[in-house]
Amino acid sequence: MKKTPKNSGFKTPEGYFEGVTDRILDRIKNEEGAGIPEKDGFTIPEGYMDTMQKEVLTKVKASETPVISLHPYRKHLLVAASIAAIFVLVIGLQWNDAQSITFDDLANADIETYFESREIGFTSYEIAEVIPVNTIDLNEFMETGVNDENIMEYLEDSIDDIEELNLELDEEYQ
Amino acid sequence: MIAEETLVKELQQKETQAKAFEVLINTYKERLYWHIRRIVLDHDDADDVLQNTFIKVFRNIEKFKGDSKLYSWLYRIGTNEALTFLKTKARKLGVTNDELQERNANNLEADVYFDGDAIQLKLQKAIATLPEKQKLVFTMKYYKELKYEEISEILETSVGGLKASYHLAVKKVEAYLKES
Repeated sequence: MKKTPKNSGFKTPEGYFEGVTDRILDRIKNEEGAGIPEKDGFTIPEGYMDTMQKEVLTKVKASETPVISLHPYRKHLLVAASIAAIFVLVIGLQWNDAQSITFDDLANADIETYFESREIGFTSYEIAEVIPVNTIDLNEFMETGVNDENIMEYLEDSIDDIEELNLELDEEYQ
Repeated sequence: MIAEETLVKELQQKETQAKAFEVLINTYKERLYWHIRRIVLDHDDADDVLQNTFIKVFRNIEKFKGDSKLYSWLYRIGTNEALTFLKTKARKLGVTNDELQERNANNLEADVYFDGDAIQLKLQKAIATLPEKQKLVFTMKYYKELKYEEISEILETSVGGLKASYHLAVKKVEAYLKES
């Protein structure tokens, strides 16, 4: 860069360049997020970080310590019990004329209860991966009908970020 | 400070693992704590989640292949643990996730580990109204915790998307704070 001629006649206030960076950064900060406090007010108990570290290390060590079985013969008992159980099961199945239970025999309510009572934690993306959305219609599993107009209205009102829609690029511009 | 690659190698070897894990906790405990605390708000909840995060890291360190940076892997585990914690808590209390977050923000008034003033309290209530992703980006960015590139690696989202989310979040928080 070409240096400013020494005798150009222009001058700057003393210390101008030392404070200019902070002033510019402050101005940017004030423009975005004006009125939002810089600190959030959260505190932690005194000495927490040290005690937390000790607790984690203790838990990790405890989980690493091998557990010695107090009843080593139990393993053999378990094997014997398993063999006996298989015999009982095979005999029971041969004697029993009733049909075996299949997945279809499960009541929908039981399946729903199972999912509700357990922390399955499927995300909407995981569910979308297994449900063949291309071959089924939305109205097939919804009690009240939804038309395109309702969907567009919903998206306009509630989607802030286009990425939440998980669109493929080529789909987005079609 | 120990180089990340060296730390990962030491964490994955049985002989050096214990010492390296202490170094890992020492290096990241404060940053991870504040990241988690700003998601769950309550100190005791943050403590639970932080400990679970480190224990999970310890148990899964062999699966860490180095495809991403160690800190982003840690933050990802911490974020997932915090979000799962909130969802589980909401389910146990029989409320929605949004209701729980609103309740958590309101409880701050009585929290001994929150000494914020009225505006800081209102800020937390404002953040509680944001959608999950905007909330994460706002808390990770506003307090200069991380850069966009780092958040992008943690949340596996494009920098452009994050900037848009952050901008929207700031506007919503500003609007909330100006109200009443």
